Amino acid sequence: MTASSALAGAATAELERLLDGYADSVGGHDELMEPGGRIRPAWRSFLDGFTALGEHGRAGAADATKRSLRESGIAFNVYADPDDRAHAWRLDLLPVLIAEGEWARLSEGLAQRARLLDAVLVELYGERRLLHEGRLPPGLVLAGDDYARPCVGSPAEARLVTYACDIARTADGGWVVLADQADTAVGNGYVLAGRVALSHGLADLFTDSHARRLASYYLRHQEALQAIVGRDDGRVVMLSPGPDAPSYFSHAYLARYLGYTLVEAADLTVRDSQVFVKTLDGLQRVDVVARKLPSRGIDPLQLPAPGVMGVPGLVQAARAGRVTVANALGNGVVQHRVLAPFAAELCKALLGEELRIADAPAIWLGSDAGRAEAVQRLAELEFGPLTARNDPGDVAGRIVGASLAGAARARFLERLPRDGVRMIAQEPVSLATTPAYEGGDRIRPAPYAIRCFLTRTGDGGFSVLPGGLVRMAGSAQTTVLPNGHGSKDLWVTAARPEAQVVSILRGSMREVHLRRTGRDLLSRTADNLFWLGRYAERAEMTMRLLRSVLTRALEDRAPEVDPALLRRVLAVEMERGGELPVLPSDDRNALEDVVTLHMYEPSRPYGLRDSLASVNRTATRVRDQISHDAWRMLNALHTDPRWRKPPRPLRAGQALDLLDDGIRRLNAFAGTEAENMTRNFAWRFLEMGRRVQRASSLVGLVRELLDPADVAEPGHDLLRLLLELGDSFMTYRSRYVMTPLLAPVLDLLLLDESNPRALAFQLKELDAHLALLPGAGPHRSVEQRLVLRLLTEVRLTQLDALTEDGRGLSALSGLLQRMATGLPELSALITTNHFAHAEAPMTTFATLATEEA
Amino acid sequence: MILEVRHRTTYRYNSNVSISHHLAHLTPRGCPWQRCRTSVLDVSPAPSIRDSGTDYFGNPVTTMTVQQPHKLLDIVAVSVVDVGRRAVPDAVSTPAWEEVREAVRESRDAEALEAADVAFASPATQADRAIEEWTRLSFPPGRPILEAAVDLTTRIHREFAYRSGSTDVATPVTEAFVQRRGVCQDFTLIALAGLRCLGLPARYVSGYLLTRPAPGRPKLVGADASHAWFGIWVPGSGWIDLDPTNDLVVGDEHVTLAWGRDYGDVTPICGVMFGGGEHKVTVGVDTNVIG
Repeated sequence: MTASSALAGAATAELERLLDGYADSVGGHDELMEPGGRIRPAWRSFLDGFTALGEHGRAGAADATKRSLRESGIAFNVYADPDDRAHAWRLDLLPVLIAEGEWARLSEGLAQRARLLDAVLVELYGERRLLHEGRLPPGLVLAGDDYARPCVGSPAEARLVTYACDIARTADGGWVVLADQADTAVGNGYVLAGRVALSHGLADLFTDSHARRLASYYLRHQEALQAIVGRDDGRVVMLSPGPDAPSYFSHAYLARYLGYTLVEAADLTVRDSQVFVKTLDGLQRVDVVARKLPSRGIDPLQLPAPGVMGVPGLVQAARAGRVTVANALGNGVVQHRVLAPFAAELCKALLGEELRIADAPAIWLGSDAGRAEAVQRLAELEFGPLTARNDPGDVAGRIVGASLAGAARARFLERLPRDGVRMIAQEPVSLATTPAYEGGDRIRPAPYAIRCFLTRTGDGGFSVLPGGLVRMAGSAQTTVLPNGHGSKDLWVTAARPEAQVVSILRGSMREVHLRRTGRDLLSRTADNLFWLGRYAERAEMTMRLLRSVLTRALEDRAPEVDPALLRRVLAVEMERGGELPVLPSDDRNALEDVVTLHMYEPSRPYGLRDSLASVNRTATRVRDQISHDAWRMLNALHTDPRWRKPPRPLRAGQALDLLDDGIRRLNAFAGTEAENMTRNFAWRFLEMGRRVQRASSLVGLVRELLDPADVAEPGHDLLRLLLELGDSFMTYRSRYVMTPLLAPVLDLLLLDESNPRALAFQLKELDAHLALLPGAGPHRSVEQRLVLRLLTEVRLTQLDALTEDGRGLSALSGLLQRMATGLPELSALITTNHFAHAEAPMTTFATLATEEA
Repeated sequence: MILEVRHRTTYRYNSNVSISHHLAHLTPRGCPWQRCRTSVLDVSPAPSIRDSGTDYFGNPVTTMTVQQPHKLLDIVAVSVVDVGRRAVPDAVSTPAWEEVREAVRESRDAEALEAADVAFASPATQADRAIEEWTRLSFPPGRPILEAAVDLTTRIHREFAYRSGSTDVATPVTEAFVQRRGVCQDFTLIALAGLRCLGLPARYVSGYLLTRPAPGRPKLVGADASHAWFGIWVPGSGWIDLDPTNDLVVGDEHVTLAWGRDYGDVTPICGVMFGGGEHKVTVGVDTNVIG
């Protein structure tokens, strides 16, 4: 036996082990194996490479993929606990491979469907011959809430710009359409993040497979928008429902990739029938609204929906042709399964073509015949809203006919005639399988379905993303895109590498306007940055406080530590959080308990967990503005499970380690903020938040600990503690080499403008930032005058007056009192004067017929 | 009869409104029995953007944006309208209600399609079993459509109490039905919800009643404010309007402003404003015969 054949033999044995039992589990069509058990050509070389990685190589690839995904922050709910499986995004290590030729055929069918949907939409919002000629029953269109009547007759040659089509390969090998996502196409961001992660994890295999790149698709999408606007320097915003929406990650990722400004409804305003985005530098005109927000509710005036704020006046602006909304408003009328029973006929009538991809069987329940059939086949069918959305993490509710019994069945049958017009009955399709890699280093066949994405192109056709969102199914049958069983990447493989690799950057670099200031910063983003600065600083101060107390409680130097003092320190922090637990002043264990309670208790106002959650929330909302490393640092803090799972029993030593670690991470965040962020407005707002908070914390601390009523003569212990909390102990030691005394301590913490921890330093910095904000003119604004007043008072303070026997502490108290009033006022002024237009509350009202005088 | 309608709506806000967008259905529409001679809409402060047109249902509609800070918004609509007598067919000779339902399902001409638009439950007319069963009492098999609809109108008038302030915009029609009380739009919505359960086309009509009735005629309920009633489609005779609040077939004492699926389509004024805090609204309507 030669060496190479021995290797081949070993590889075969490894492959056999990986695929052990696979063939027996395959029921219908399988992507990997032909019915006889032979590996399909598209998979052969990939599978060899995958086998050659070896068990360790595969584990490494899985880890690298997982790490890349985790770092991207991918999730269904961006705020969620990252360990919560319901919100975690799982990506299988094995992609679905589809050969170029088959993909081309499939793409033709998908593009045909996009053309069909576009034609139907143009018709339904134009001449409505489909209704007059009886090709679509009126109830199908007119009965639901998705036909946007105010948009009928509005100019739109291109109603469908982006489109997602959920398809499945059935067990017998053919393709069927599961649903049309015609209102908004959701999920591209997941595809992009998944591709980045897997092409990283399986880098060599990805290159060798010559998988088609995704970038050219997005270039076509940008060209299509430019063609619609008629020029290539128009401002495009991506309108998202915001971070509370399960798919927010996808929207944010896609917007960042395309270079569009990600906005929420409250960031937009309509004036003079034009759409503007609210930025720090005032209102900026918007040319295209690429929306991920459903039509329903997008304009509270003309397309209202309960509980949705929307952009008042958007319909009017779109009708007036002053802004392009893509997709056009009202596309939800053909969302999901509306066209399923009619697509084949419509395709012949409108396009003169045979429908290339059939629909999964569906019955509209708006006709007597449809209802009769559904009742007869109740147990075989699933029922749901006709125009449901069904996005990852946000699943359409369904009623399974087979599970209906007794009273529930009777109620369902009773309301069917009344509500059937807005319902669809679907027959589950049996799914083909594709290999999935699972624990124990094994490959098994898993049923799956795909969401494909299409974009209009500059010449009016449609182009298909050479990839897709593959969702694995938990069972062999489905009626909709499955949810909750993990995702896969989709590779369209080719024999040769792509002739030309397109980078999306080329498109956006064509015309470069050099800008350094970033005046386009959204007012809302500036607001979040300001608060991120405040929360990060607040969390750090809390950690310092808890650390100081715990250290002292742990150290066995009882005579030097006054437990009453520790109580007071804790009180500074805890009083804000409501009732203060009774602290036996001499019981160290109780003290430890209270500290750990303040650290770990999740819902305690001003508690550490609360601060960290606020840091994470605001950081998530400004991810685009802070550096990747900065975000990763904060995300790591949030994802560290030690914060969420307090050790039982609580151990002060572990808590101390954790606090040390947390302080280090927050310092690192401050460090990247100082070193890696350009000095733009985003940075200034983050900095101002930090400075305001640091000044407030310091003032609060000194006030509490040097209360003249309690402290006649501040002891060394107390002063040392103050220095420690103000992170100025080392500075003090280097200057004075002696036990802390009141005068130098106050100088260092309050008056010293060269100490970055001192009150004076914060005020000086705030003064400098305010002078450089947009809108700053020759005259001082009210917030600038306030800062100047506070800074001047600090500068004019004589140290002697503060430390003078008898009267000193009351002078100090007066100074601190004025600071304690001025700083919140300053924060409020910054909020009103720079973020106010993003904050205005909105009220909608309908004055009804009988509201009387 | 020539009527002059004066409809004044005043909004008072606690604090400044920075910008407000409005949609107004305050101009009476033209119909075979009604001609609008003049209609003037006065808004103060003056809107920066004002656009008049026709909505999906053919109603005159005005969109306005007030962009200057204001604490008070005054909207006065004055219209002079010729209202003629409307031909009402003999109820007994109208088609059976089932035929109307079939006509909506089967025919595709413009009239039937217009009817189809209001034949399905809209957001404010989602019925339940109770409403459906109660409505069916007026619709035994084969009963002429108008006779059945008039019977329904009478039953609403008889079984429901007129009580202003007992309901608001957010009250679902099913709740007003259970309470057995409400105001004109509740009665109208209950009728619409019930009729649409049966597959019958029926539309919400917004308008006015004569404030001072002609000599010898009683003052009608709902005359101090704007009013609402419903219209049903009678193939061959067009749309016949019925007023459940006053239990009558609409004649020349009702001025039609606009019609749609429910009040959401034809609210006299709806708006969105930024800022303003709490707001108070006063509405005054005065309708007089001037010729």
